[in-house]
Amino acid sequence: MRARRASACCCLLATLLVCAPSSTAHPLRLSLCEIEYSAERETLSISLRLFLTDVNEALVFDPHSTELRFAEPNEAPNAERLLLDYLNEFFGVKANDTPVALAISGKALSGEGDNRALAVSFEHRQAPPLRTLDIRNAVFTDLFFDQNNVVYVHVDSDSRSLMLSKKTPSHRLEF
Amino acid sequence: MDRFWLYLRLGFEHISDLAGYDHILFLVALCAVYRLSQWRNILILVTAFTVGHSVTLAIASLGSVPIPARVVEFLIATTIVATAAHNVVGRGGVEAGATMWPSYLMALFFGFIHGLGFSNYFRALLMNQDAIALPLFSFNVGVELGQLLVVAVIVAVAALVTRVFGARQRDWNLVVSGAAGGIGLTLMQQSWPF
Repeated sequence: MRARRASACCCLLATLLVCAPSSTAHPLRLSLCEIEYSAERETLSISLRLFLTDVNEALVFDPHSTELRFAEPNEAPNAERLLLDYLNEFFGVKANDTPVALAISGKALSGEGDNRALAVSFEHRQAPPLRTLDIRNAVFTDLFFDQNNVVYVHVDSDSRSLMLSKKTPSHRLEF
Repeated sequence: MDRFWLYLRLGFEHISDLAGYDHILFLVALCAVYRLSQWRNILILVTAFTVGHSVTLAIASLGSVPIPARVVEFLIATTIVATAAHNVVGRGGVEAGATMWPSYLMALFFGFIHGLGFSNYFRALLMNQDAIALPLFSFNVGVELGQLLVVAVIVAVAALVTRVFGARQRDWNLVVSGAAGGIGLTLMQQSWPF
């Protein structure tokens, strides 16, 4: 009986020791993009919502860096430039087969701590009719193999949702 | 794709591709002590966990839960270690006739904690309160479906190990609870918030 108990304890201890050092936490990786077209206002609005830790990791290789301070009064002078360079590489929209130039029209922060998100807005003049939208959203797929990028598209009264990822980074919509 | 299905798929894939393995680990620990013949107890336990999970998400959809993410991560890891310890030290559901209510209440309470994990995350990303209810609900449905799949796999593996290979239930419990406890301890150390 004592030997059985001892072997059970050894079994438990061995499993604890083997499993403990090899484990790491693995969060859900997600970003959100909302694209809205109004024919009446002739405007294509794009809003990207990105976790700040992911932005920092992509731009300065440190998820908890305070170097760039996006959307704060003392934002670093090179912050927007770095962000735009990154987005131009991993994110893009073509309206009627013509690339949309990304120019930031607004930034805002929400959430706290590791859940802090940065919203970046863009506005683009687009004369009607809007026949096609090609969307490429591969943000952070260079960092995380399981990154998912949700895209909502509203064209006048037509709403669609997409899930883009490393495997499927782009999609073409026709209206 | 419909928005409901999009978030449901996201929740299901997050659990079933092992990316959200802290939740899976908890389920593994929760089921380790039970035999296939106790499937009703397992079903009630998982349902209690699901109810707790859903209640927190529903509360979070109405307003932000003011608990820092790091504290939530630490608490989730603590639930894994506590469940593994309960399996080894406590009687669990092994003995026939033993009251199951403390275990059901534990699963319910731990479900509240696990639900906190995603609520503040979605709130930060979606910003607009009106837009948070559907993604949270459908993501949660996907997570729960993934959990059911995981529980089915765990119970099937346990039945295989104990019935086909002849391992004793007690040894299976010790190995699985030991593994879950070890990983849980590492997660606690990684997410130490104080």
